[in-house]
Amino acid sequence: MKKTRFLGLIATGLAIAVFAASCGKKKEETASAPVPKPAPAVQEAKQVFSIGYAIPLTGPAVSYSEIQKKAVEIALTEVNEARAPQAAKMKVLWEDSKLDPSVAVTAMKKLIDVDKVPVVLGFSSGEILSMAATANRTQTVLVAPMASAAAISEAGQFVFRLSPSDTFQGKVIADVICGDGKKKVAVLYVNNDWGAGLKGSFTTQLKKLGAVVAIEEPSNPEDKDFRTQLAKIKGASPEALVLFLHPQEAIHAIRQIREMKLEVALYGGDTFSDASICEKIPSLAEGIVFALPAKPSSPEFQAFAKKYEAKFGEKPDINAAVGYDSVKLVAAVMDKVGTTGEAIRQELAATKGYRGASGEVSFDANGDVVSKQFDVLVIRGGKPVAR
Amino acid sequence: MLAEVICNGLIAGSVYALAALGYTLVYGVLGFVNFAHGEFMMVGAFVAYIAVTWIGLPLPAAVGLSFLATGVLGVLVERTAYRPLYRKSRLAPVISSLGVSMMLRAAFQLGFGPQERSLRDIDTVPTALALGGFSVPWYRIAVLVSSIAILAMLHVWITRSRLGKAIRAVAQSPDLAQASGVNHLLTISLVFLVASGVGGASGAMVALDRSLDPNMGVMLGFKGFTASVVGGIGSLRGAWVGGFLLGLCEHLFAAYVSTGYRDALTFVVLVIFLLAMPNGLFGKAFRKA
Repeated sequence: MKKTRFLGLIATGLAIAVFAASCGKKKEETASAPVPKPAPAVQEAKQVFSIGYAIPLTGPAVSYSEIQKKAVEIALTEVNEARAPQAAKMKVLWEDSKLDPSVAVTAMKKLIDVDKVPVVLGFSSGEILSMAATANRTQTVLVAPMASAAAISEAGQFVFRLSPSDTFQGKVIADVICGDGKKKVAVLYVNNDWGAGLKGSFTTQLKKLGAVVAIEEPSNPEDKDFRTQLAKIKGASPEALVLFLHPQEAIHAIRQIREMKLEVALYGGDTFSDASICEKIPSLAEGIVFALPAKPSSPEFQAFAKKYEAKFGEKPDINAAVGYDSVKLVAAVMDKVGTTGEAIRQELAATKGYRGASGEVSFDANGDVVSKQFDVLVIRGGKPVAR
Repeated sequence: MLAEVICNGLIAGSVYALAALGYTLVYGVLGFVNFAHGEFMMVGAFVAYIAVTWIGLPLPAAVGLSFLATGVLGVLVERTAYRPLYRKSRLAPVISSLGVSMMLRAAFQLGFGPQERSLRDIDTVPTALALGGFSVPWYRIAVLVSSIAILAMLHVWITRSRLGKAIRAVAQSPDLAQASGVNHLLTISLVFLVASGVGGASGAMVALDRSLDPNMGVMLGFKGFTASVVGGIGSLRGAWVGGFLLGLCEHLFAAYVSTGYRDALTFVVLVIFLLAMPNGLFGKAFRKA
């Protein structure tokens, strides 16, 4: 009995060792610089050409992917209806990234290796930063509709994004707070690339304007209990509190802020435009001020909003608009230059003044969208309205 | 602030203690860690959700229903997924429990979707009890009081009642217990009824305190497991102490050391205890197989 167990152990150990070794080897192979892109999928035969979207289909950020799916559906309908009946139809392949950078990379590799897509869309800043290496190596275009971390500017030439860098957003919020005469400000932020980056550019600008950062408190992604952080913030008695949190986290934080009777002016990042906040806590969220990189009043946004509302019976937000713009822009580029990553990259980089639902899109040398304007909004009567 | 942090720590601790109890009961009697326990808690939360929002039961009844439904689920899982494996190897039921945990999570995600839900109206500020410099909302007090009540009742039941004695007898020596006329298979079912039921009830508490979603059991189960290891897995008193200790440590650490590493602390505590004190604070030496 003992002997067999011992043998079993050795066998298991060996199996693990062999597996680990083979994984290690694989990594080395793929790491050896520029692997030629697998032959661009020629989709004429299949009558369909695809791009991929690695996005959290499960987990705390799922409210985003539901919006993305709807926005992309509208974009695809428009793109495909404008085509000749025999022409290849465009399709988006969805992969679950779980809001986890390593899962996102795996999802991207699957999209590239198995589905042979030349363009992948990605979700959060952390995911995009991890996926960037694969994008540049395999010459796959990586489009980020929403990710806004400052570090993405340096992510390489195959990475493009449609939301302005947090460097801008942090500045805008700091300007608004100082404009409101608040001199002592607390920050509660989610400790990931997005939250920490936004907090960084925000506090830099705040100090420049002569205000004081009373306290900075981090939280973990998916946290539900912010009471300890809020007790510390209460102890620092700030005049304003800024929340750089994802919508689900923000809902818990705001509830707890109100329960703890923390009476400060509340400000937030663009995540407050997420519909789930006004849907679940319309009265508790009253009065929260946030900045949004968009002009919902533009005719392009209005036209998109009309289609979205007609189809889904709800109002789209800015994230829907950037998702819609990303797919339409990529479709236009692929129609023009075909399905090779490098050609798509060149054409995309040359985009100037594309008038999308989310605003005007022009890319700078880093693949960052420039020329988008910010709106300052406030939640009033359960709706975000211009301030 | 200290009083407020301690209060929050106690509330979290009471839930951890309830969770730890489930691990401890099963380990004490069967000598294996039921890793599906966190998912039993999640199921309990969903039963309470269905009871409150679909059927319209009052909260206490919903928690009671959670206890029953999850308890029955626990018995069924034990009969089908664990019992056939007891004689195979000590590892087999543990691995089977991991499988059950994944299955339950996937099933609820399919059925209910991955989004968060809430047991009560969250768009109002709840009435609260003012305690000096801070206030505690009613539902948090309810969580603390009912968790302690459940813990106390179970403790008395196991240490005083005939069935409790049977459970302890089987834990000490299944063969001897059987020789003395204790039906040990029935006792095992009873243990699963109680352990999973308490897990379900504590899941309902968490749902009341925060929210519920199909993945909530992962971290909860982990915290409960850590609490039971700290207290000494297999020891009833250990579950109490481990739960409250972990809750307090977590909140004090977050308040005075670092908020960012709060969850990491749990992992560090677990590793330290497993290395330095594998029997925990009150545990007996690990049973030799």
